[in-house]
Amino acid sequence: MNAIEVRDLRKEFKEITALDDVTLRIKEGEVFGLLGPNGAGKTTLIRVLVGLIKASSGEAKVFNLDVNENIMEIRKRVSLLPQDCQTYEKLTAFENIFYYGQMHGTLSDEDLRKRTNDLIDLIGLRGRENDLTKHFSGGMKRKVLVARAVVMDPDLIFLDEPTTGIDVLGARTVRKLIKELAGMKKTIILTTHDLNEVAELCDRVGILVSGELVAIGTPKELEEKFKQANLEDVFVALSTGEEG
Amino acid sequence: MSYKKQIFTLIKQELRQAFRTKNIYLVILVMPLFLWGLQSGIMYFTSETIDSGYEGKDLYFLNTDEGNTTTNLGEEINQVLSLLTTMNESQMYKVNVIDLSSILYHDINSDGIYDLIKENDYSPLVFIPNNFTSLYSSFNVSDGEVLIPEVSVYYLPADNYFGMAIKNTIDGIVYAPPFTMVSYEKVTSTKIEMVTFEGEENAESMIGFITFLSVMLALIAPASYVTASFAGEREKKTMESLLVLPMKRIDILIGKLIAGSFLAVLFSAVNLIGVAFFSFTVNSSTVLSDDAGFELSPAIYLMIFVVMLFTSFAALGLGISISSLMSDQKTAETTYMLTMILPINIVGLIVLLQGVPETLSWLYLIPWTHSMAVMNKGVFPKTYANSSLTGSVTLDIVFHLGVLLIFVIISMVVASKIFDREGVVSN
Ligand SMILES: Nc1ncnc2c1ncn2[C@@H]1O[C@H](COP(=O)(O)OP(=O)(O)OP(=O)(O)O)[C@@H](O)[C@H]1O
Ligand SMILES: [Mg+2]
Repeated sequence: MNAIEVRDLRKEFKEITALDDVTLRIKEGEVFGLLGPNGAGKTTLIRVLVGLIKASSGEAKVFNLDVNENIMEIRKRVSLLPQDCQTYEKLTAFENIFYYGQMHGTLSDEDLRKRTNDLIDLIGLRGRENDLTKHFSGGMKRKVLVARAVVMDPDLIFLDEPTTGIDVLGARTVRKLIKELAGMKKTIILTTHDLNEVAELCDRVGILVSGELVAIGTPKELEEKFKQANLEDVFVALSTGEEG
Repeated sequence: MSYKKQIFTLIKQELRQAFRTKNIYLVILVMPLFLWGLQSGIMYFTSETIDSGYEGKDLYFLNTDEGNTTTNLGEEINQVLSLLTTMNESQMYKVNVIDLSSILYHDINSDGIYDLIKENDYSPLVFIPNNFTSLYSSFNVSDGEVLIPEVSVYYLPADNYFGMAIKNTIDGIVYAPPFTMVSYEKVTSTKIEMVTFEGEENAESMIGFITFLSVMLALIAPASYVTASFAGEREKKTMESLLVLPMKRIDILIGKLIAGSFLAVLFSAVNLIGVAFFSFTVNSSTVLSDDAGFELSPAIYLMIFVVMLFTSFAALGLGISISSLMSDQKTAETTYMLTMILPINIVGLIVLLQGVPETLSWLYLIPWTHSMAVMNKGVFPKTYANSSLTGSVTLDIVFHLGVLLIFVIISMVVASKIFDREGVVSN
């Protein structure tokens, strides 16, 4: 079954065409990498899929439900880590994660408490869980945010640049967490500018350039199709139009 | 899990953060208590210095009383007053009483007195009218027509406290022998009047001041919460993660509003403590208590509370709109404050004018004008009886509260519309 089904999706902001007739399918359980240069429309696509903004035209379905009609049903199974999102600095790590789960409202307090504690162990913040996140490093905050995005045990997780701006070790923990989620058959949509990360984590990738989906497939397929040695060369070739 | 619980968690999350924010304490607790404390301090220390006496100050005395065959009561007052200036325990100790009677102004009318005072700086001036003794002697309660003999104390604004002290002293004199009124058959009264220069009418009363400070605080108080909760969350992109929850946007707004309202209630209550402290200081000062002193009944406290609440709710609505349009907290805070400066000025103007003059009735378009009107009319129902809009002061108060309520509703609806825009999710 498809987790996401998008057909001829368009989004225009005044003169800017952020999404230019995008058509794409993502299966349940897939880890899908959304690539593209700055301003390509990655965040916009995610926002349409979670109902934060409305598409100008086209169709978008999540778990076979139309985003314009059944967004509340969709949101019960979906979660998002927004790009550049920060923690609530005046809340502790535990509160950041636990309250978000409570507001999501799909799990009991008991389950949430257990999951929050498990996640704190998983991201290596045991012992710091009752500290305000104000005092955390950038990497620690990001780990809290990823934990926060998965605490309600969603089936589909959008991670908009979860490893951007943190150090190697922090990024590694986040990747480890993503792998674990993938192992649990969660569908994950990941945007990133790190192509090694994509190669490591993603089953398939889609490359957006100026709102257009210019390529889609497994990393291997794309290398073969565009006759490039690696994914980075494919990316450069597609986003600039020149040979790598 | 029920839907209500999600909103409840949101409220809890908002309040937890608020109570861990220094600014909020500053605004909700420190600002009102500090400001009222400061005002109380100023009142207290000025009255302290005043209470300590007026040694060396000049007091002018003009007796135009013609007396009768046996006595001249004006002269008797003059003598008691002079005696008091030699008595250590009197407030009038070592005050120079300058008798203007020798200069003779026997037919002086009130305009003449004002000019006399203004031109020669004869302030403060105790004035005894020419028929004082005769009115006093012929006065009889059983007569239908009652003309009360009256001593007047005039002073220029700079002699405010000295004038009040003199009035208290004269009161003491006329209520004691030979003016004793054992059976209240004989009555005298003391009138006090500030002589003001044109255009400088000092219209500010204590209540006006309390009202002004309260409304001003109510307008400023929501700023730090509302800008953090809306513009701050947008700036930090946490707003996006809130908005993708399976909660309706309106419920997220309601949760934040309930948290904000809770803070507004808390703030209004703290403000009442400030007001109570202020009125206590003013009333416990012997000089001020007589004329500037005021009774704040529980009803008035309740009214101040309700008006502040309505005022800050409306400000909350305005704040949400502003904060949902601004992409960062600092800009939102600055814009909020700039937006509030005008209404605060207008509130101040209304204090100065002691109400909204008929020619400026467009001022009623500004909602906080109604906050002021409720307070003024509630505290001085008699003063405003003649100028009431609806024919009755009580109805007026209901009307003004109604307008405020309508504004609260409108500001909330506008806020919810703005919050519902796609633009709330910003780049
Ligand atoms: N609310 C908005 N109003 C106007 N233009 C917008 C808005 N949101 C996005 N855009 C424009 O749409 C285009 C796509 O933006 P988007 O944020 O989706 O890109 P992105 O691929 O996520 O880029 P990045 O890698 O920098 O995050 C950009 O040109 C951006 O300026
Ligand atoms: Mg983006």
